[in-house]
Amino acid sequence: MKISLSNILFALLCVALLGVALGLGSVRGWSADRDEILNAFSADGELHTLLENRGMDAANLCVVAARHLPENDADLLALSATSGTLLSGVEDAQALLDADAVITDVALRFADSLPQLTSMQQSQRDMAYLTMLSGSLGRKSSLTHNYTAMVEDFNQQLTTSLSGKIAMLLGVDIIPVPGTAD
Amino acid sequence: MLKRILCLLMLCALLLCSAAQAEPRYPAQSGVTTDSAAVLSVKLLEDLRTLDKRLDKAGAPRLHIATVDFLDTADVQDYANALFTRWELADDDVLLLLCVGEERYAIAAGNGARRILPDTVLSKLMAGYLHEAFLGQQYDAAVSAFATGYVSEVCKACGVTVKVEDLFRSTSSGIFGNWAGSQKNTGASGDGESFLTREDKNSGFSLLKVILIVALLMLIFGAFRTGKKLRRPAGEDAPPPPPEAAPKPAQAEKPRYPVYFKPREKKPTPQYFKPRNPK
Repeated sequence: MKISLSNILFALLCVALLGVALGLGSVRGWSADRDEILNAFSADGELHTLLENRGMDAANLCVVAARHLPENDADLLALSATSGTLLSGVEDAQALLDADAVITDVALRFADSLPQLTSMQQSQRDMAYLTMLSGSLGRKSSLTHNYTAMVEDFNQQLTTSLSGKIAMLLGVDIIPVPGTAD
Repeated sequence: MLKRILCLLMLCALLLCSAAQAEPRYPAQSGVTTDSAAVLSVKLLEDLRTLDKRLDKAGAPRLHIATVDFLDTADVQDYANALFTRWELADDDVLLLLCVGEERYAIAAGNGARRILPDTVLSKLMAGYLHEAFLGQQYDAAVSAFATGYVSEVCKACGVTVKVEDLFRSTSSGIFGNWAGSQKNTGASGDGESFLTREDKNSGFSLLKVILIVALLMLIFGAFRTGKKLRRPAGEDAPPPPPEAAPKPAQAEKPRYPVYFKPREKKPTPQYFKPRNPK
C-alpha cells in the first residue's frame, strides 16, 4: 500500500472521527445515567414509588401514634413534618434522604417507647399497626440504602470503564455519596 | 384588588398542593367483600357472599364492602369514591369502606343506588347500625348490623323480599344491642325511630325482649315469694330451694301456679282481725 499524504490525512481523520464519536457517546450515555440517578426521586424516577410508600407509612404511623401521644409531642411533630416532605414532591435528593433518616430514627424510638404506654397496651390493633409500620420504617432506611447503592454503582463503573474514563475526561463528574450511607 | 390577588394565589397554591399529593395505595378488588385489613371472620365473608347473591337475584342494589388499614393521607370519602371508580362498580352498587386504622368509614354509591337509597338513608344506616360497633372494634358485628339494616331499607325501597334471617347469626346477639345503643346515643328521631320499629318487626327483637323481661320478673318474684313461704319449713340457714323442687310436703306434688296464687286466696286479714274482735 502506497503511503501518501492523502492516505495519512484520511487515516487521521478517521481516528479523529472515531474519537469524537466515542467521546460524544460516552458523555451522552454517562450524563444520562447520572441525571437518572440524580432524578431518582422525581415523579418518574426509580425510587419514587419507594419514596411515596415510606411517606405514606410514616403518615399512617402518625395516625396511630397520635391516638396515644399528646399533640405537641416532639417525635410526633417531626414524623408528621418529614412524612409531608417525602410526599410533597420535593426532588432534592439530600433533603429527602435527611427526612428519611429522621423517619427511621423516630420509627425506632416509637417502637421502643409506645408499647410502654398503658393506652397502647390496651389496644391490640394499635400494637399490631405499630409493629408493622415501625418495622418497615425503622429498617435501616431502605430509601437511603437504595440511593447509595445506585450512586456507588455508578461511580464505580464511571471510574473503571474506558468509556467512563473518557466521559470523566470530558467533564462528567462522579456523584457524591450521601453521608448517611450504611 | 389585593384580596383578589391573594385569593387567586391561595387557590393556585391549593391546586399545586393537590397536584403534588401522592396517590394512595388502593387494594385490588377480591369479590363482593375486600377485607384487606383482615378484620372480618370467614363466616361473615361467606354470609356476605350469600347476601350478595340474594340481592342480585332480587334485582336490588348490591352491597360491596372494603376494609383497609389506612387511607394514606387521603380523605375517607374521596378514598371511597376513588375505590368505587377504580373497581368499576355498577351504577346501582353501594360500597361501604371501613378504614380500621384511622377509625373512619364512608359510603360511595352510584347514581342508580342513590335514587333508591338517598344519602340521608345511607347516613342513618351508618350512624344507626355501624358507628358504635365499628368504633368498639367489633367489625363483624358492625358489618353484620349494617348489612341487615341495608337489606331492610332496600326491601322497603324496592318492594322486594330478601331473606337474611339465616345470615349473620354468629354476631347477631351483639349487633342489636350495639345498634339500639347507638340509636339512643345518636339521638335519632323521626326516621330513626321508624328504623327501630322496622327492625324490631323484622328481627322479632322486641317480642324476645318482652318474653325475657316477663320471664325474669316471674323468676324473681316467684322465687322471692316461694322462698318466703318455704323459709319456715326449710330452716333459717338453708338457701331457698327452687320452686319446682320445693320440699314442702303439702305443696311438693302440686304444680307451681296453685302455690303461687294460694297465698292470695287465703289472705291473713281474717286472722288479723280475729284477735282484735275479742278486745
